Amino acid sequence: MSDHDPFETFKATMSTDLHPLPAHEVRRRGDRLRRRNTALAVAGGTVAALVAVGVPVALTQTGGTTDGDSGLLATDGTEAVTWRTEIPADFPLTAGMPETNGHDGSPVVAREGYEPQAVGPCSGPAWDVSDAIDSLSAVYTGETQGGQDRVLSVFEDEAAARARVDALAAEAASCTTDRVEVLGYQRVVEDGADVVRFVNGYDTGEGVLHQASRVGNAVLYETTYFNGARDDTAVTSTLENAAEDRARVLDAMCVFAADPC
Amino acid sequence: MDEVEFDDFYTSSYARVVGQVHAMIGSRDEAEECVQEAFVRAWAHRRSLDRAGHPEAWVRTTAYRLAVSRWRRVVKGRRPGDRALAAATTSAPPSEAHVALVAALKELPEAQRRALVLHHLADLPVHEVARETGVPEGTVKARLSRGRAALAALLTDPTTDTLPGGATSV
Repeated sequence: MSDHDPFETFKATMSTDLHPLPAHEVRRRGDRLRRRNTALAVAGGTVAALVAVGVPVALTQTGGTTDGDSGLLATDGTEAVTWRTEIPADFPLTAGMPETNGHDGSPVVAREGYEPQAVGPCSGPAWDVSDAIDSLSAVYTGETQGGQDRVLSVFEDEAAARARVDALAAEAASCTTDRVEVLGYQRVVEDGADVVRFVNGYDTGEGVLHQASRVGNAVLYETTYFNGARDDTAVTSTLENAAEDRARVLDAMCVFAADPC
Repeated sequence: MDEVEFDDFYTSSYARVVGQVHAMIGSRDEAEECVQEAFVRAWAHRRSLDRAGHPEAWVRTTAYRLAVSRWRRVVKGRRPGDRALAAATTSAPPSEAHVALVAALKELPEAQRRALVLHHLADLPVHEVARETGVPEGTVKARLSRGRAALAALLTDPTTDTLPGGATSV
């Protein structure tokens, strides 16, 4: 080699003009990655069991991970918390959803209020926003049937939001009608949210995945239509896709936490 | 590894690892993206990182594998967007020394290139290069010897003065 060491020259000048993220942002993304990995592992295994059993199982208070997330979910009752009661104008509710509807090509947009798109566990409306202080919804309609919808509901405080999620969980745990069968549900803590999910299965083999995710005083309710409600692989795949699609929305819900971002 | 320890580790080793991975794969922007993602994974897996005992080697190896994996996806024409990464950046032009060394390294077989970078840029002794690359020490020594000879020829032979982009001056 030449009389100077090219490696030493390289080392002496190699650290210029880099663009590292701040360390706290690296950790935040790492935490999110860990939560998502854990959530997928829990969701895959649990729903597989739920589908195999075919009946509701005992309510699980927590699952996934609570490491570092508990501050988003509950206050200890000793601090006065001012809850955010308005949805930010730039809230990314449609993030991860298709940009246009399949049946007519119109754009998928967020609107105030909510018109239920799917039946709930007892054949009633899946979600009701009448007692919410603010709400925002988005609906995607597929090419032929089914689709996906989201509604973000903001309640007066954390207790009100938690009561709504608790009521949904109780309903999903006990109600099966002639029209629809709740194939199973679970309650977990994942991605910083208190989540209740269940699958409504129909005789045709169709299914709707319902997920209610609470962060602080806000609840994101989602329904996702899919085929193969009693197919383990189809349910797991739907769950994984839904987790990926809604990740940014759940991240943005930190503004409603007791210790907001 | 707690938050303070991780932040110190990240701050002190980021530029060094980017430089090393840059030399291994030939693209600094790609190296920086992969190293950034590797640090995100390092924090996500910090418990196993603690057990591994060589956090910088863990990040470097992860970044290198990410780069190789990305390259394979690019070759297959289906590289997805990576949501975990920062917005794309454009780096300032590197120095002539950087260009010459990186261009010469790109001419070498991958195994020789990696051994040279780990030994001469990361300053790892032969036995640690062997551990990180998973081959016997004798193999590392052979790769270093052949790699150095080839590199010397590439860096001194005016007829093979490699230019950025793979062009060759005459």
